Amino acid sequence: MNRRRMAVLTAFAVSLVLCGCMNRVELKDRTIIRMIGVDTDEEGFVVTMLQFSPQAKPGEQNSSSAAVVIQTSGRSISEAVSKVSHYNGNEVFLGNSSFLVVGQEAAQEGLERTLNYFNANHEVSPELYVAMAQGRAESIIRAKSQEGSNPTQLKSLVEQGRRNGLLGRPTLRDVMNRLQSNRAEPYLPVLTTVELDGNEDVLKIVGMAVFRDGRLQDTLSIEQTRGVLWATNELNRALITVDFGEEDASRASVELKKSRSRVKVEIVRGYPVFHLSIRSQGSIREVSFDRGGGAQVDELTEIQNQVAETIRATVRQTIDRVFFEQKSDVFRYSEFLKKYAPTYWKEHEKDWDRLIEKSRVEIEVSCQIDHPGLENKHHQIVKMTRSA
Amino acid sequence: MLNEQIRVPKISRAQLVALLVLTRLFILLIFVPTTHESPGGTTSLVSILFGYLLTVPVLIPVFLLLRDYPGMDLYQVARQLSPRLGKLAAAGFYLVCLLAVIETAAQFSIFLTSAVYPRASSLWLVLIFCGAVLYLVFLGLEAVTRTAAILLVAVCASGVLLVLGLWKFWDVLNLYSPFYEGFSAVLYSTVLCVTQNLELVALVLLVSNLNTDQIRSTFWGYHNLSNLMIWLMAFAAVVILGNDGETRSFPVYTMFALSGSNVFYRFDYILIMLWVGTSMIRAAMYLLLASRMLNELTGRRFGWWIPALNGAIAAVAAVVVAGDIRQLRLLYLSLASGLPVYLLVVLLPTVLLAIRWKGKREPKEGQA
Amino acid sequence: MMKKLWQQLLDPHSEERTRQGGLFDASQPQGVGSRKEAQARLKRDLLENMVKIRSLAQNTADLQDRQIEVSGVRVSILMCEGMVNLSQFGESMVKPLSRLELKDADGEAVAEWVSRNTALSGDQKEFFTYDELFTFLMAGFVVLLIDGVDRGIACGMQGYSFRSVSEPSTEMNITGSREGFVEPIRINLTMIRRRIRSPSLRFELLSVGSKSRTDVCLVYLTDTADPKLVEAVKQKLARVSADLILSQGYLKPYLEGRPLSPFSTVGTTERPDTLCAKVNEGRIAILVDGTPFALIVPYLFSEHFQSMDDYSYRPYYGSFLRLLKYLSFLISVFLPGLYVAITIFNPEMLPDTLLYNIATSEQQTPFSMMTEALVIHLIYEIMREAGLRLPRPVGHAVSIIGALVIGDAAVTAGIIGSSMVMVVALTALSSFVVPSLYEPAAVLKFVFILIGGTWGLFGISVGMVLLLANLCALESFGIPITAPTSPCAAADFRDNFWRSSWEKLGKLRLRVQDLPGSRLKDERSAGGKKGEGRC
Repeated sequence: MNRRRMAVLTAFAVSLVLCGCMNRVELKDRTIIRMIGVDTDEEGFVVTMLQFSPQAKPGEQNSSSAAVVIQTSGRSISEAVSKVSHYNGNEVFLGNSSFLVVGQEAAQEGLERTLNYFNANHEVSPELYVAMAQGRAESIIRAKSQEGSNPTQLKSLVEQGRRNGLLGRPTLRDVMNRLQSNRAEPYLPVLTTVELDGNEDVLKIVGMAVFRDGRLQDTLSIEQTRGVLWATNELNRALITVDFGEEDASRASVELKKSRSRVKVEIVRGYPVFHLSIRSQGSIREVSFDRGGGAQVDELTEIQNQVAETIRATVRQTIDRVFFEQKSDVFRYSEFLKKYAPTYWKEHEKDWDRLIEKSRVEIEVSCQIDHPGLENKHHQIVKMTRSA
Repeated sequence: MLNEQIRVPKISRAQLVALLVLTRLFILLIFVPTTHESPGGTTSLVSILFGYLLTVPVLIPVFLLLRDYPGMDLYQVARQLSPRLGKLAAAGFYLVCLLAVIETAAQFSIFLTSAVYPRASSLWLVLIFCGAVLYLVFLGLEAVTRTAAILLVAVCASGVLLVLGLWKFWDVLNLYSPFYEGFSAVLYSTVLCVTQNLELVALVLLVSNLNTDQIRSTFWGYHNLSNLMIWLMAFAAVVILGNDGETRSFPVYTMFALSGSNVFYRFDYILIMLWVGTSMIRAAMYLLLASRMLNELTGRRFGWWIPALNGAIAAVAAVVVAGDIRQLRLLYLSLASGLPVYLLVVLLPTVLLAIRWKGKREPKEGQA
Repeated sequence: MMKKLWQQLLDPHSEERTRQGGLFDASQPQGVGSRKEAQARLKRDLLENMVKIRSLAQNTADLQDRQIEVSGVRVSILMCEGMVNLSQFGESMVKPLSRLELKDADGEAVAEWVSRNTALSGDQKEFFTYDELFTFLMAGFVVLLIDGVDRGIACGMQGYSFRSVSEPSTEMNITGSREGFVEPIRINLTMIRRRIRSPSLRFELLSVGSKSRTDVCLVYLTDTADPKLVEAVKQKLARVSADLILSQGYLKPYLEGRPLSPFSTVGTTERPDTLCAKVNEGRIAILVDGTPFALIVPYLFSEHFQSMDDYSYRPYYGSFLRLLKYLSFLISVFLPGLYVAITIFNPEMLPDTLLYNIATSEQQTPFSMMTEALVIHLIYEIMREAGLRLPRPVGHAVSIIGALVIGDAAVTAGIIGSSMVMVVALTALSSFVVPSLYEPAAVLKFVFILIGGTWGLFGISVGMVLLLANLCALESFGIPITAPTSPCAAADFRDNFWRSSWEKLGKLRLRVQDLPGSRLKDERSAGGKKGEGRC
């Protein structure tokens, strides 16, 4: 029995000696990074990081924290990140970084070489938001917003943007998934700063960056972004304003709550035809009539048709620009081919660029307004579809 | 004191099923595309089903044999029918089980140092792991199976949480044709499903510890549950992770990390705990079986020194293997190649059946 | 005459008593008489007996003896001072004896009369050895030795002071009985008998402890408890080698099979209703004289989370409380270790805001997270222990100081972070939800702090699995203590993690020896049948 006790005690003592076997790092010895921006220069990468720096004093209940910007460079991102320890001797901790901003130039040189480091890092969450800066990522990180709230502001910007149909799912996992696929391409929201009052900067989403072969190909406007999201079934909510009535004198704002899109693939005369059907459901938020009075039933139908036409036109324009002109498959049509026509895809995968030129995208949009708003005395709910 | 030396531990059918299913799930957690050479993706969805069917005829000889020897395991039958063959079988079982322990410890270390603690010392991880496993062995088979049953319930519950947390990442576009990479890939993957199933070796050794004679229902319980869980996990990996699941190491770990983002921020800590438990139970089971076989080979003279010796061998070998991914791959392939299953679960019972048939004929000829 | 008797008996300094050969002879040598010597049989000669008794008792001050004549026969009355109910003694013994007039009586006639023709007390026994004499004397019996008779008569007239029946201090109840056991075993037996009015309820008295000869009573239902279990308990109690048995804790190690585990396989209870419920499930209760706690064997791990209150509430709330207890136990053991492990090794697992708050609060503290956790939990344990031992008025002051020391001063001084205070508070509160598991929880939390601080989440996981396996390896008299969770029986789950309604609880009669994995039944013959709901 005594021997057993000695053995147990010895085990405990040994365990204390083994404090170094797991490479423990106290929280106070870590440099907690909240946001990272990656740019490129002649030598390699320039990494700008927003560090969380608590200003706590003993006993303070509400301690403030300062945001400190650190910038390092290196031939690789690993090298640049490791140089952060030259500032304060602490170990860099990326586990709670909420945002990664890629500079425009870095995006042009190739997204994968920028993201590989983060994808392979066990600390980094797969749900890390990724965005591209209009210009250098440094400007986003250094934006003089309210003290310490840049990442928070950005995060809520992104989340609101997703809800309001300004951007899709710009997480590290989604981007890497597309980069690792055969031909599908990623997209990223584009950010910029807008100066207010000379002292404060506000972050703004200005559109979407589309890629081809992992390199930046084009930047889309907000409207065109919506077209992409409609086509890829990632649009949650959107507000569309249409003109209707005699000489388009009346105007209606329709809030689309749900949009669903489906793609069917057909091989016609040796080339793929993608049938994109979009169904939207919404309600009228605001109507202003030319004569100020009530509207007829047909006007509601006309509004629906106008909305459907607007959606169709937006999606058409976006597909023409992104898919046919830039040959960037953000719509994942290659994966649809792989799923629904695997044999065909296997044979023609290598001629994807040529396939794009010869393929067609047929768009069908339907819109249903199920709620006419508060002012409903002149409206009745009518279901109409109009094929585009 | 080693429990087995006091009396033969008895476990229920459900406990054995839980133990085997849990150890089988180990393969899910340590999946590394570069070392495991499994096609993965949608191919695995079909190959798991084919593997489920193919495993059944593989076990016909052993069922036919054990049917006539209730309460005995394959080694005991071999020893009874042919002492020399019994020794050989014990050596074979010992080697396979010990290799399984080494593989488990090495995989465990690689997972932790790849996905969780990149700068941790592999040596100490293996030593701590092997020490803990040795303690489990000393607690005995009953304790290990009871723990396994509880852990399996935890795994199932966490699987439900996983699914609930991942529903928004569901993308059916990731489900392409399972025959996309050709029939040969499906066939290869199917065969791998059978040959990777090292738990069949454990099953034929543990039937003597059952408190019932219903071996076939035990097998069906294990076979159905394990294949169902593996299939569901593979399906989730395909539809949720897509290409990421085929190229990223430890895709299940990634799924858990994603899953918590809905409610609890991250769930990967749950996976780490379950994974540690699963690994320990697997290693403990095989170490127990290896110790039993070595005990038989040495004539039961060394008592608790045997598990300690096996634990030491496993620890040293695991440290060496974990330090070199090529050696680990070699070890894995040697176990998954099918040699253990073919030799010990198919060939050995077939030979024993032949010996028994010959033995029954000879007295008849003598009488004639 | 009665008055004379009283005075003679009660006055320890009476010269007359001393002249008659009381036991207060200082010339007798001091020291302990051997038990072997006391095993000798009583003699017929009263004087010889008295001399022997005097020498064996070593002139102990509390032993009173008085010689009287009953119908011409000398009778010696012995008792221990303060242990006898004097009014009962006077009414039941003195009066009848003093009035007894037998013609031509000898010792045997008097003994016969006392034994057969009267009942001087409800509990009246004959004995033959000095050892038994002392046993009865020290149990509060009044002992009669009659000249010419080689046996004695012990009459139960206990009247010593004891604590009255009150609410149990360790098992509080909101609804239900407020009675708790008391120190005298006889009163505890009556409390049990009142609750189970069945002839199958059996009390089996044993004497344990070579010097204390403490009364230990086995309580079980003959139609429910397994006879092998009863026999096993008796065998274990027979192996008790201690001189003194002063509380139930002295017997626990003998009843537990595997001491190298933080969990006990023997339960304790202070409540008669709880004891009755356990006994009804085939368990055996062991009452120890002199302690208000009863031991219960076999004891399962899930019983720590059961209380009488669960059965007074409606099933949904009872189940909620049950689950809350499980959660509280897990928090009390693992929360500090997990907190240390995650903040040191895996801070990416914390939500952003929480991480920033913790980082801010820990920024100025001088110690590592593990050291902080160890120190603050140690301080808490010191204060808790101090609060238990101190008198109540001072105890309040200690708790106030404790709150100030930990809650405010330590944080203000920058010794610990405010987040650590939350962890300590939550851990402490959680540990009191399941009081019977306080001991293992208190020690294990330090173990897991050490493990978490050195090996991180990996170490915590290994520790958890080892602890679980250790628990699964424990058996209480052949029954795994993790039953019915593992090995599992679906039918027995009705009162495990949740509490089913009384309709379901009353349907199947649970007997502890029928639990899955029990060695008390033949598993092979009973297992494998369909329809039993065994998983």
